[in-house]
Amino acid sequence: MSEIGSYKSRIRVQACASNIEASPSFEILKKSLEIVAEKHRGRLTNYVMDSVGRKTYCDIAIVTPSFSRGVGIKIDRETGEVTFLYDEYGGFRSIARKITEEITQNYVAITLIRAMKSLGYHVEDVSHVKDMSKERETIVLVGRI
Amino acid sequence: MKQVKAEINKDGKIRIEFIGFRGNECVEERERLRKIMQDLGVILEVKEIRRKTEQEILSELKLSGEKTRERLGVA
Repeated sequence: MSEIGSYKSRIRVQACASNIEASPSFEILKKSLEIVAEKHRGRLTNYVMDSVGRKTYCDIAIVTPSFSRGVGIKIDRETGEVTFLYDEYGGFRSIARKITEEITQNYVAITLIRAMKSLGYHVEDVSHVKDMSKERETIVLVGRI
Repeated sequence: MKQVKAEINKDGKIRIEFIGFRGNECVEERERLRKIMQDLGVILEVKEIRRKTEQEILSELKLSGEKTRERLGVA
């Protein structure tokens, strides 16, 4: 019997208090940020700025020309919970949310591809489908075995 | 051939479709997939799981048969 399932996803990095950067989850997180940075012609860093220029350090962050304050990520060393940090004051809510959504979407896609591959699937089709009515982009993956 | 088709939206919603599985195979495969994803840092909360209707399965089998015939060059 085959099925169709709908899920809500949440990122929770495998907690590794001593060296979070060595965890596979952090490597996936970094890769997701690199993809988003490439798309928005941005770069990775380790701090974000607020609207008055104050710096806050975090585990990893992305800065883009359209949002130079940056979107940062902080990982709780005990629970692995991931928190996005940004200052949206002054009309930056939309771009900040777009960046956080893209990071999450890429993280989930990379994880799903790795999970499928580890179960022996050939992930042949990876496509981006744009829903113009919602101005959203969906990543579609197909794995075959 | 078995297939897993996934659609990942920006709002964190995912739709995963299992195609060509027999009996409870897809339930086991779904749980294996969820476990690996959890180990890699993605928690999937189930919103809805729907077993395919007989009609949907028959249509999948028919499509799969047509593709096999195409590959084998059988008219």
